[in-house]
Amino acid sequence: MKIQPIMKVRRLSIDIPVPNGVLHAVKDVSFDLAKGQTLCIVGESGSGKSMLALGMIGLLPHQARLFAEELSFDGIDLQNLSRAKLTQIRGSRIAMIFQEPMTSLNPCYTIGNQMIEMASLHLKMRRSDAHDLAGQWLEKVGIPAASDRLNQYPHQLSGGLRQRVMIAMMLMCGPDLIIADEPTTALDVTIQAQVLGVLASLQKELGLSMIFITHDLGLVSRIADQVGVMYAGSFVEYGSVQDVLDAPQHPYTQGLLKCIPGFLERSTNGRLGTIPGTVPSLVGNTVGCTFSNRCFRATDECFVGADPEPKIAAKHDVRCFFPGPPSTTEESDV
Amino acid sequence: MVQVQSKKNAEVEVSPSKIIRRRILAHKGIILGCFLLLIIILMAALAPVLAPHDPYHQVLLNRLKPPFWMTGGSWTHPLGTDHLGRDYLSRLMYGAQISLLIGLATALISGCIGVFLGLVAGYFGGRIDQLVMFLVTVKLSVPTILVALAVVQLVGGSLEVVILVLGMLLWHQFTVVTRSVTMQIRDMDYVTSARTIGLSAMRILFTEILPNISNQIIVVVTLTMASAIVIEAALSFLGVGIQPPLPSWGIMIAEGKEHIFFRPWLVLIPGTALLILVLGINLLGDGIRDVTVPGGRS
Amino acid sequence: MLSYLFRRFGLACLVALSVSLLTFALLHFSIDPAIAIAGEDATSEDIELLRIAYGYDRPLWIQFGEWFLKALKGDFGVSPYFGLPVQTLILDRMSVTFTLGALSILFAIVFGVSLGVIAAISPNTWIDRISLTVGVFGQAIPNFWFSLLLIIIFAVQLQLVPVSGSESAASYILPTIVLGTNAIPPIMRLTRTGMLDTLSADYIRTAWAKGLSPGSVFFKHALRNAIIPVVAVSAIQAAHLLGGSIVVESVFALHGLGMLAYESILRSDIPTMQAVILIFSVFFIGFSALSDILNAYFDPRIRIQ
Repeated sequence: MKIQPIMKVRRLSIDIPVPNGVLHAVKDVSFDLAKGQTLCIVGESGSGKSMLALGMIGLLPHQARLFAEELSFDGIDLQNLSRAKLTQIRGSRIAMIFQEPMTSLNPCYTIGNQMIEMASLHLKMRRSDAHDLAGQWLEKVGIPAASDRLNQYPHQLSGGLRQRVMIAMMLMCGPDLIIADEPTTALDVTIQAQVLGVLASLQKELGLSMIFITHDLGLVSRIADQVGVMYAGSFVEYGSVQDVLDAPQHPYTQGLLKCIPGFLERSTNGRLGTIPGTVPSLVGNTVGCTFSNRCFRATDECFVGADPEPKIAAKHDVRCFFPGPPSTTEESDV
Repeated sequence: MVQVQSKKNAEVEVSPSKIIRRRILAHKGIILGCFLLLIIILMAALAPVLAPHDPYHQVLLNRLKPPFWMTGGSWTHPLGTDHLGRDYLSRLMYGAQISLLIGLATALISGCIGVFLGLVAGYFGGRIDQLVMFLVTVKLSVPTILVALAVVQLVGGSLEVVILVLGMLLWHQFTVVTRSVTMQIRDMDYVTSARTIGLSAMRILFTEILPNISNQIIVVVTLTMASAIVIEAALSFLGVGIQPPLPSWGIMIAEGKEHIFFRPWLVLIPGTALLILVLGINLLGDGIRDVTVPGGRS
Repeated sequence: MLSYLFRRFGLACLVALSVSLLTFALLHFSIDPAIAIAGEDATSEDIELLRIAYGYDRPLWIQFGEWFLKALKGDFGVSPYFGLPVQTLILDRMSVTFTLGALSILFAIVFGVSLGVIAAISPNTWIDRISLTVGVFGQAIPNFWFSLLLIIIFAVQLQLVPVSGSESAASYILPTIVLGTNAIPPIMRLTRTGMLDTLSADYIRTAWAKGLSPGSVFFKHALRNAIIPVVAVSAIQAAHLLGGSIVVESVFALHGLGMLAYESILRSDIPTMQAVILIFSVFFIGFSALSDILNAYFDPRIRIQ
């Protein structure tokens, strides 16, 4: 029996008109997210991960255009939803946490005010009830002396505390899905672990589904059920985390893994890997595979035609004309 | 063997002045501002050549004639005549000279005072800076037009007095801008290296700091000019400052005030000229500020 | 916050003292006050007698000290032109200027902030361009000419409002528009810039992600942050309005402090001039201090220290 995934995305693309053409920020992304599971989207800066996240909940800049064959959340078609209904879903059914805790809270209002706002709006609670709920949630995320904190302003809290407040604020109305865009990147390593711990326990307790965006493959291996490796706007590799990390088929994924000490078997000369070249411009259409200019095993066929369509290799989707396991002879001393 | 087929854009080196020139030409405000300013400058420059009559020549029989587009008007006096029969177009053109002169001269005087104070405050810092900033605060607390009115009236109104008084009342913006830029630059490496090779403080200030503040100074010059022109016109309008029969636009408006019921053009014409001049200067100043901000603004 | 208040107040007093000293010196160096009273045709003996009688022969700093101490009690001397105590003149005229000032700054804030918010919500559209144009013109138009223009249009041609005088409430309409229009551009531009900056802030993105309504996002979250510098600017603009009132009151024949200033200057009435300049300066200084204090109050980062 197939259970309906909570999030279903088919061929989602986001285009942004720019002075010299059209920037294809996201190209034909597809994935399913099952209830209670975590999808990690990995990629370098500029790969389109944040755009993808914002696009899912309708927070793109107004010049941007999103189109998808399907974009549905729990059966609701998000693409054609009215503005008003989409606004309703945000916060109450889909929550989003951002990367910069220092600037993501309004400096002019107290923590309590900003949290109570959520509860009043989505749960139609009275102020006093909302106040209590806010206090409970602060304790839930491990912030002691909740009632004092509620009267404080954001600038009086550290980054880690602010991020926990964000989590509490976004989860207090009981959403089903949480999208986290690099929530720990801006924090110290020790604080990172704490915040991740909070997220993990809440997810387990509440049965949350999570889309977690990161550039840290190490993190992916610890928290993800599924992973999508994003490059220049598309998922070059997508599948369950074991399949992708144990048997990466796309040269980019393989390159990324080589950059991490201890992951793949390193090349015989013992050096940490690099991926030469730079991401091509996302404006206009590329010829051939987008990764071809940096790929160590590109052949002539890779430079013509359109981007490769996803095909199955080693039980997961790969966008490559020649997917395959990493060879030991390539070496990027070039 | 890897063939790298990626298209690389040719890197074109564009110098900063070319960038600014390009931005200037694309900025509508600057174009419009220059155009308006040019009208007035031409009026002033060509007055001796093109003005149809002597602006002081009174022909009482011809008084209060309307401009050519109204009934009773003629091309001999294209903008009509005033209450003493003087040709309005000629007065308007010579009035442009007065306004431009006031603007430039005041900006020059206040600029010298202000930039000097700003350099000194920014470079030396400490007590001197505190003193200068206190002066600026005091200056800002003085109601400019009130003091200008009072002093000019008491000393006796004339073109020179007005320029001098305004020059001493409008220096504060120069000081603020110069000081902040000087402070930024003072601590930069190339000033330190200038000092290490033994250049005196004054020399450093002039050669290193002045060129860097020129952009912002130009903007302040335009703002000060506009203020000076408007304040002078207000002073003349109130009967203080420049005395008739000089054709200051403010005086023309004041003289025309008596007739606004039936001959509104006497007030509308010089006022429009004033508006065009101030608008032009403001647009130019704003535009230059937009364009010289690093990164540019549309 | 309290220590900030004290320091700010202390600075204000120091500035006020300096301003009055400066203007005192300025006025006394611009003209011989004895001649001002006696008239230019008086004989030199009469002038000397006057000088001694009024105490103008004493050292300047003594004259200033005496004047200042009396001024602190509200005694500004007697106006040689009006023949009345200056204090009486000022008290008579204050209400007109205050009314005009309050109406004008209210006008400027309402229209300035509204235009600024509208322009920021839809930047680079025709609405934005119109408000920018209003801003550019509002700043460039000389207020004395604008007054005459409005008189021509509304009072003469359309006969809607009285031309001058302060008998009725309607006579405040045109002067308010003139003074207010001069103050609108800086308020509008600052609101617009502030809103644009604020709207691109991370916490606004958070507000959208929380599912808040546009009204809540724009007004509760964005404007509250953007308005901080606008409050400060409004206070400064209120002070500038006072300067503008000199011209506007004279054109519209409203008997306020501005017109008093003008009349006293024309008549070389030095005691009145000094008093009016001091009052204008005190208000200017007061408004600046107010704006700094408001700034500090609205920004919790300063308030809680």
